[in-house]
Amino acid sequence: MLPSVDSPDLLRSQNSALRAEIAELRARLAETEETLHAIRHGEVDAVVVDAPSGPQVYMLESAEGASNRLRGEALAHIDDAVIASDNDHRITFLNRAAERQYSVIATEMLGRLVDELYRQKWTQPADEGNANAALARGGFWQGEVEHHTNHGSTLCIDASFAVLRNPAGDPVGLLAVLRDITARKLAEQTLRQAKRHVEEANEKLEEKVAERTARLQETIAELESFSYSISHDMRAPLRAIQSFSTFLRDECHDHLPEDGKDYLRRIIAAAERMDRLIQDVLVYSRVARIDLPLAAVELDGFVQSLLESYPQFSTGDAKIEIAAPLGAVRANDTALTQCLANLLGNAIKFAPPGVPPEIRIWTEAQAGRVRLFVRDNGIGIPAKAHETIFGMFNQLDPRHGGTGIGLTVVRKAAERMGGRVSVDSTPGAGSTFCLELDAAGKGEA
Amino acid sequence: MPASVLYVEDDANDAFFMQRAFNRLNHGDALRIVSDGLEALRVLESRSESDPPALLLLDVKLPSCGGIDILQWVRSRPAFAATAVAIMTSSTQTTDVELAARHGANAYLVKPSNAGTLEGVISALLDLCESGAPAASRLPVAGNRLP
Repeated sequence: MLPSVDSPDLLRSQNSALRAEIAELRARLAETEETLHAIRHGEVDAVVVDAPSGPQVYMLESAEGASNRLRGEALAHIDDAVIASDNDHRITFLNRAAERQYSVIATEMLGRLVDELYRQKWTQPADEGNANAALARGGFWQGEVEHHTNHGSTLCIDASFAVLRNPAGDPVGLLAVLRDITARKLAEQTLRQAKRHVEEANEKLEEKVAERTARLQETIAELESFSYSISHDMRAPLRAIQSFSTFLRDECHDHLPEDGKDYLRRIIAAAERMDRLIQDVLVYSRVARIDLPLAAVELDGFVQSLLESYPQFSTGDAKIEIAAPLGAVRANDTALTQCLANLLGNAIKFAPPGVPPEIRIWTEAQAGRVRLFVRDNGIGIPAKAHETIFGMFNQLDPRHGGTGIGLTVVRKAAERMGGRVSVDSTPGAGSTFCLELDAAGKGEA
Repeated sequence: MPASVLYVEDDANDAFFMQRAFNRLNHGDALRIVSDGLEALRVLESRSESDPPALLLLDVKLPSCGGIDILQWVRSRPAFAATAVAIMTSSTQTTDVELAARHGANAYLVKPSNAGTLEGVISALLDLCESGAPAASRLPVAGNRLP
């Protein structure tokens, strides 16, 4: 088979097609070059791009333009006043915050001197020199200054100054960022004042407390010397009365008529009673007055040694029963002795005539407290007197002797140990006294 | 029987009671009573070499010079090393007792409310001295119950 040769007609039509294609390509190339030229010469603002979602407009912006735009927006929105000035101290830029802070309009202030905006006062005289030195050295200074504005207000300003430079590095002006801290300074001052007031009030209070304490200590000292003088001075004449009456009775026995002996008996009894009264008042005064340090006290041992040191409780026909273990309380030895000695003494004293006293002692513990009970078979106390018997000098029946202070001492002693005392009783059916104290704490006994 | 007893007491009645007690113990002559503190010091001074008392009874509250001061004075002089000293008082305050003991008292006596019982107290005290109890002993003899 012979190779086919294209006919001259076919060649001619192929040729013209190619020529048309070239012409089109040339035209499109020219258009593309024109577009690129326009873009490169900044004549194009936007380009339409075929995105998958459809045609989109892309904006073209210079880098400087973008940067300026961003900076401008930022400066407009911040709260700190920003002012730029040139080397002649003429304002080149003023942000919105600066307009508000100094009550001006930016366009009116451009080109004017910074001094026309505010007069700057330095907090310390040395600051001006320091600032200038810092700016000259490192191009930056920050510190507190005072601005007196044209509208008569004084502002406390936290100021940052930075030297502005051109691309060559030469200083072309100053950038000032000025934060109004007037309110903050005022708040600080108010706070300082308030603090001072509190401190002064505190001092006054401490003075008052010291004064009161001193007065109290004075009173206590007076009471102490009062007790002391009662002890010595009042008991001396009493001693004389009792003693001489006794001598009279014993030595002049034969020369005295019955009446005389009777009178002496009464004198001696009265003097003895007076003496007991004084002693009891002194006991009460001590219990009320002195320091009563508290510590753990084991009741079993305590009651035992109490019975031993007060022989009148063990001799005689008194029967005392103790329900051990009694436990431990938080108490003061001296005060507790006073309480129990008085309670036991009463229990024995108020036994019915001809009946041996029977006493029972036991404890109940509950909720950190210990109740010590002393029950007797005595004559009992009517209900209406259950409170009054604890009053000073209150005696239901003076015939039983005693001074009427014993139970007062018991109550005072109990209270000073942080406890209390009460009674349950019916006439003819004995009495049960209850002394309630704190239980001894863990790790104390 | 002790060579001598010196009692320093300003209260006339208490002085009377003490003399009565000594008389009834048949030791009336052994007792000398001085009513002023400074005078007591003078008397003691004059007797320090020759005739120091075997027993010195001191009331606590005295005009011009108190019992505790006299006690200190006596205890600072070796001449009275053999003298027993008893402090006499109306007070049962424990501070007084401690004070007396601290300054070298041998006994602390509370004046009994009824002086009739004083004899027994003094008798016991004199026996103590007679048995030659050294000045350093600490045996309190109470006229009344001590707290």
